[in-house]
Amino acid sequence: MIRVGIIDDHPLVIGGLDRALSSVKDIRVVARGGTVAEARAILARADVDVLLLDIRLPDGNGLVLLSSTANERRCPVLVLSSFETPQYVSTALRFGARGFMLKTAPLEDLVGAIRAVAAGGSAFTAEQLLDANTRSIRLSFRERQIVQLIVAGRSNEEIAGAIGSSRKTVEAHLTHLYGRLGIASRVELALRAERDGWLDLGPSGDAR
Amino acid sequence: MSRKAIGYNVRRATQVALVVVVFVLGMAATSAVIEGSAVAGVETELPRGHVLAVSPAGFAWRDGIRPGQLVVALSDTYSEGGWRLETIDGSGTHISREAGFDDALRSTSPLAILALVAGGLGMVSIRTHRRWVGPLAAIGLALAAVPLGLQGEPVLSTAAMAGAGFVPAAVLANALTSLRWRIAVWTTIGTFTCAWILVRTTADPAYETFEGIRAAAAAYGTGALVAATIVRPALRGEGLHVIRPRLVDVVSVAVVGGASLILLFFLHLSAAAVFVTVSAALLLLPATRYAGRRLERAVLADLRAQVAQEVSEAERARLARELHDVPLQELSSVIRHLDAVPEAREEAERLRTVATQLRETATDLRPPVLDDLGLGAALDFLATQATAEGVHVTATVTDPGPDPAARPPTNVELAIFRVAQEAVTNALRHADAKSVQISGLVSRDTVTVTVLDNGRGLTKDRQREAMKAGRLGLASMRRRAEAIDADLTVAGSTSGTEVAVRWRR
Repeated sequence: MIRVGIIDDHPLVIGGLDRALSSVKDIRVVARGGTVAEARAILARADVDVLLLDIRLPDGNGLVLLSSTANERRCPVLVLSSFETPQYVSTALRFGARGFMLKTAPLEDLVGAIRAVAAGGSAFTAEQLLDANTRSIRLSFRERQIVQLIVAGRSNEEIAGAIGSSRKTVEAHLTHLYGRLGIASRVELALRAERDGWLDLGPSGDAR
Repeated sequence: MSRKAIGYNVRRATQVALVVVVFVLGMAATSAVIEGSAVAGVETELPRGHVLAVSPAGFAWRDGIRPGQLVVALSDTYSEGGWRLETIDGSGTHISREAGFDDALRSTSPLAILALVAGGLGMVSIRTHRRWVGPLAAIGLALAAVPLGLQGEPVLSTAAMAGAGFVPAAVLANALTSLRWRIAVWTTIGTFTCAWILVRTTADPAYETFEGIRAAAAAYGTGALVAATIVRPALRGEGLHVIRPRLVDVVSVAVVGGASLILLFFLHLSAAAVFVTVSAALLLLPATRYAGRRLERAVLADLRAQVAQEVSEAERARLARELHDVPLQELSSVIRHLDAVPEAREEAERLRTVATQLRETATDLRPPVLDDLGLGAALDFLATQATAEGVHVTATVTDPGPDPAARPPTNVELAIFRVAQEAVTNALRHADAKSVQISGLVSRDTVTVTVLDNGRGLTKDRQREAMKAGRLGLASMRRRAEAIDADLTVAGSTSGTEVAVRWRR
């Protein structure tokens, strides 16, 4: 039995999902809510296998909640959104969601995704992953710093010293970047950063 | 130009010419009473004999000196008591003295100054209170005619006196609706004025009669004109609109008038020099006001456009939110229901299409990515969306992520997104660019975004052209940047255009 939590600020949506999912034999909706605060509470529960999380909520944003709880123990999350663009998908991916679906997706797709996530897998479609990764380059400030230092030929230890964190953290950032950008090595990273001008802001742009 | 416009311009030019003439005469009258002396206008057989000629413009005429009289005594300007002439004829003795007229001339200095002021006010009123111009000119002419007439300077005094008689009647006649009547009045007063000038310059004995008529025409005409254009509307309650001059006009004329008097009286500058300076100063007033008006209008237009832009953005945001909050949610719940009904598969599919269309509309109105994920994601989205067959649009952005607390203010994000959107649109639509690079560095306190394309560069000339052609993309970018106090630079060369916008909290 898969125990599912639902966070959505529209009662109609919750009602529809609730009814549709209760018709599925191996799924049971055990928690419902409409706010970020409620979502935070459900995330921490050990008796929820998958949380279906909306993005726009009255007291905040589901994706921001994911980014702020990225390092905590939490139940697997499947983001349910009204909009689907590569930017949403890549943000969800980046903050550790296990899948991303439109609210209007067919029920069987949704059920399939819930089962995949509950089984410990990922529910991102191949198309979503392709779109999210081959688009433009978006870096966080920390990532930008690391890329700059790699382009300058620094080692991981030197980078860790320069940005004031541990070698492990730097390695984690790099692994994440490699995965996101489909890159195999630091040399490739440096080459692509140089070639594609990741650090440029245009001829007259102030780089800092 | 239409006939109406020509008529309007002719009237306007006539008004300007008239007040300039009045101003000149007021100035001449002022300098006459300050530094001039009365002109006798007499020719005699020297040192004894008969009076040969007397000009009606001189004061000797007013004293009854006429040609043919026998000179009894004549002392020149330099003797004690000044110029003095005593003649005799059949009717008795006639004495004409300069000193008396000099005093009379000087005592008219208030009139001369008022004439100057009337001319100045007339000039500055051309733009704002055109109905004032006629009465002011008439008043100014009447006032200037007195000292100029006393001084006896032939050309200026004749002009002022003729104008004082002619102008009020002419302006009044102009108000007549029937053209035939207008022509009749103009012809009558024109003929009379010509006759008056003729008898004055030929020293005809009939001059006194003509002068009586002219003086009456000047006095009654000016009175009637003031009554018709100022008093009557005031009584009718239209007064405030017509009568109240702008404070700035009154003050500036007073300042200019006062300054000119100081220059004339105390610094003893030549009247001509003062006149040139003062007229230039007075003519500058309407000119600067005109320039100020245009500036004001441009500023207002800009403000209106800015408000319109804000209103439109607010409305777009509201619509997009509404689409998201109501129909999209309803649709997703209905689709959930239909999914449970195997026979309704097709309907569910159709509703999904409707949902997609609604999403697109909402996204066009205001990209949800911008509000949900921030400017960096929105620029990325812009690149995704603009990329098409044969066109390569990339975004390289560094941003703080979706947390609103780490992002720049919403209005800044929106404004910069719209600038970038406009720049990309310009590049693809007008510059035929094949590649566009969006670069951005976004943090809570500073934002730098550049859009670089490889199309036909938007050089300064092209920018001007685009503005003229009414392609308002540039203007709109500028307004957006101004609204959030950001710097915008648009640099075009043969290899493309770079639009850069920088904001700092």
